[in-house]
Amino acid sequence: MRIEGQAKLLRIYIGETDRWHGQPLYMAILLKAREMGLAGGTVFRGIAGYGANSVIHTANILRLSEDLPVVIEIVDADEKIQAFLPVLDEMVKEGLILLREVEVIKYAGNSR
Amino acid sequence: MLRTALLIGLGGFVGANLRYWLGGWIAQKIGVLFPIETMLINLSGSFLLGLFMTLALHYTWAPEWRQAIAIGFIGSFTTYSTYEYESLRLLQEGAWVKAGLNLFGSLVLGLIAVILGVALGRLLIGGTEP
Repeated sequence: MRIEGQAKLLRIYIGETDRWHGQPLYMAILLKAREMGLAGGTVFRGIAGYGANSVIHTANILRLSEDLPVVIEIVDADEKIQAFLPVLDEMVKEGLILLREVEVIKYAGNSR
Repeated sequence: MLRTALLIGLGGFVGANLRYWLGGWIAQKIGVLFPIETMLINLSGSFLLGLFMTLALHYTWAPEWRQAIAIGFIGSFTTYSTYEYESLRLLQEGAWVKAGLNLFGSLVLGLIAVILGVALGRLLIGGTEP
């Protein structure tokens, strides 16, 4: 699989306690992306944030550290990303999904 | 023994849940830059414990009340570990003043809160009882 030049970056903001069929939603999204053959995905955890319901989450206040933000980034060619969007829409009940143009400088893995 | 476990468990259930819901509400309302919710909960719990124990010992309330309220309810309402954890988070961020205020503020104000609770208890029982 190769991507180069113009591609799309999909960025998904959810909470770490969000779940999908019994497993963490971020993991479910990542596994689904791999299953659908998308080029790659990375999950990040934020240390503080708030979303549509304006509730602050922060690791500094124990009581507010329950549902820290999780961001998933997936990069691939536009058509692959577009095929993934309906699946994502079903999986993400609460959160934010962004899509932007990016330029891929390098995408390489070791060939096995 | 089962009775004691149930009394402490019942008090603890109420106290821990009150801290959870009240703490969340205070943190969202007052602010998230300083662990004020933990401090307020610990101070009010300290005050309540001073008051309760003064009354309980004076009126020789049944030890079951002390188990349910002093140990179970107030014990799980207040939280030493959260106080230390949140202080460490402030230290790790380099917020020395806030960390100091939290560590020493809670310590000193907590003692004052117990003293005030005891004082109110003595006032209520009308006098000189230690």
